[in-house]
Amino acid sequence: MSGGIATNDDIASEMSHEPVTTGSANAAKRGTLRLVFAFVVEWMPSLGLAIALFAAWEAIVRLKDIQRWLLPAPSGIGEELWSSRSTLWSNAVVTGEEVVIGFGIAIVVGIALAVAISYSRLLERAVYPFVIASQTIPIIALAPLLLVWVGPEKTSKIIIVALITFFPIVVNLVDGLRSADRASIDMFRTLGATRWQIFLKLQAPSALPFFFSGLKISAVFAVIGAVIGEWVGGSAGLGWLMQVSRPLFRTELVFASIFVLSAMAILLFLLVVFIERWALRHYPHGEQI
Amino acid sequence: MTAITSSIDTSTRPLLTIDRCSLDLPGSNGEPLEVLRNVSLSVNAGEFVSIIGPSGCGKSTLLNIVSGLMSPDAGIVALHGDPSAKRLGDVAYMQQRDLLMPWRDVLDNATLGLELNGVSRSDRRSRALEQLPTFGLEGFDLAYPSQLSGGMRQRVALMRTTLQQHDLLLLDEPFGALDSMTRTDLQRWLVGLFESSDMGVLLVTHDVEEALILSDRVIVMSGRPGHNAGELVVDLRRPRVDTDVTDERFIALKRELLQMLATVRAAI
Repeated sequence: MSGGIATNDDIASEMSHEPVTTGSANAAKRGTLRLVFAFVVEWMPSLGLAIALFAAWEAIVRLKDIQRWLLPAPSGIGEELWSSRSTLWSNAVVTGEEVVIGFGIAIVVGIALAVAISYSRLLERAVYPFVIASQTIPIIALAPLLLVWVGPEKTSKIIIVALITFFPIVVNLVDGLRSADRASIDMFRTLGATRWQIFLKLQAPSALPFFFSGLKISAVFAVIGAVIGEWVGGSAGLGWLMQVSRPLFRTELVFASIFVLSAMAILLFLLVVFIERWALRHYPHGEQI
Repeated sequence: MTAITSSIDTSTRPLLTIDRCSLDLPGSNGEPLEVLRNVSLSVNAGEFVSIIGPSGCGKSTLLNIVSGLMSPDAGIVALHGDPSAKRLGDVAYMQQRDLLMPWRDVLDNATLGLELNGVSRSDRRSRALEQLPTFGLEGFDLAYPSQLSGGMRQRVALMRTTLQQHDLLLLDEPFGALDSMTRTDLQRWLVGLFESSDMGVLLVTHDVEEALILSDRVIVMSGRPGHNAGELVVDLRRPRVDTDVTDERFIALKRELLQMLATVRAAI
């Protein structure tokens, strides 16, 4: 076992050494494959920890003989995941759609707001306080109102997802767009750059690591937002499924829903991390997470 | 007005004229701080001039003014004798740090100036590829800055600065951050590059030997506020690729320059 880990580390450390000279397209392709492999190797320890924790949980439930409606064992949840797979799947599709659309809207609106805020001091003073104020509104209080205003369908959930997720994107991107240092901006000016060119070719690429930091936080929030929306009202989605299973003491289905929701959030997070790794592959390592 | 300017033969005018420039900047305590007082100098086409002086004597500020990034409160800065000539974007200026962008490869870093001025991608590439051997970067066109040594990064930055072929080049301690062996190599290399071109160069440096190896004239500046404190003509023969720093004449010049700097330091 320990030998296996050492081998993985060796491979990982070997992979971090990029060749000094450049290569052909073939080498670039190999580089992408290595990136995928490094990614898998890197997440092995957390996978191992997850298995250990599930084993401990299973043992405690069995030894203490805990009622399944109170706390089901992982094996029971596993069975539920399989037997209710079509119900879980159809509801996961609904939640997933809300998450993706809401997150997408947040990205577009977040970028637009951040660009506006960093472009003009006047817009910053006008808009930034509202961006912050929007986050002081308790979503859990707003959600039922939204339901009344736009109806119990997907729209209200999408609005909640967008509302929760745009904030980290805006705040990080505003910081990022300001991160280019004075000397680099001066260098661009002496090369004859226009303000727009400075934005496009210096400030925007400099902001990229910050943008991804915001995106990673938002990716996790997005799923929570959709569940809150479904929780307060609706007729589909994993949040709704948990809400209707609980009074029926179908605790295993509640946990199965939680499991699927977590998987969705983790998948979305990893997707962002993977795109980040690719987009920032030439950036100094200190700026990557 | 334009008629008078154009009737003057620009070839007899110095490439750069700085005439009694003064500048105040806001100090840390809110009081205006006098950075430059009546600084004057000129650089002719094909001439290498260095400014040497203690830190805080306003050398870098002076280059910021010449590049067009800043304007003096008083005095005249003229290109080819024309005080109204646009400088920002028309004077090559290399700052202390290489300021390479990590997300661009060598070729895209070096051709940034051409890109910003609308030169097509294929044109940029062919012009840069042609220049790579001169800058000792052959075969590194697709490398990224993180894969390069400090000396190579500095050469990429210099290539970025000179690829637009402006006739005036400003250098602000370009080799200051490098180890002494790399620095010596790059100084020799820069001498060769300069001697095979017809550009005028204004270099700011701390390093006495660097100033002597590279320059035709060395301007000594004194600090607080920065002003002219002396000038030394370096009459070493060119080409200087193999200049012997233990040569008698070199040592005499070095002694003279060090004495001038000692006087300047004592005056502060």
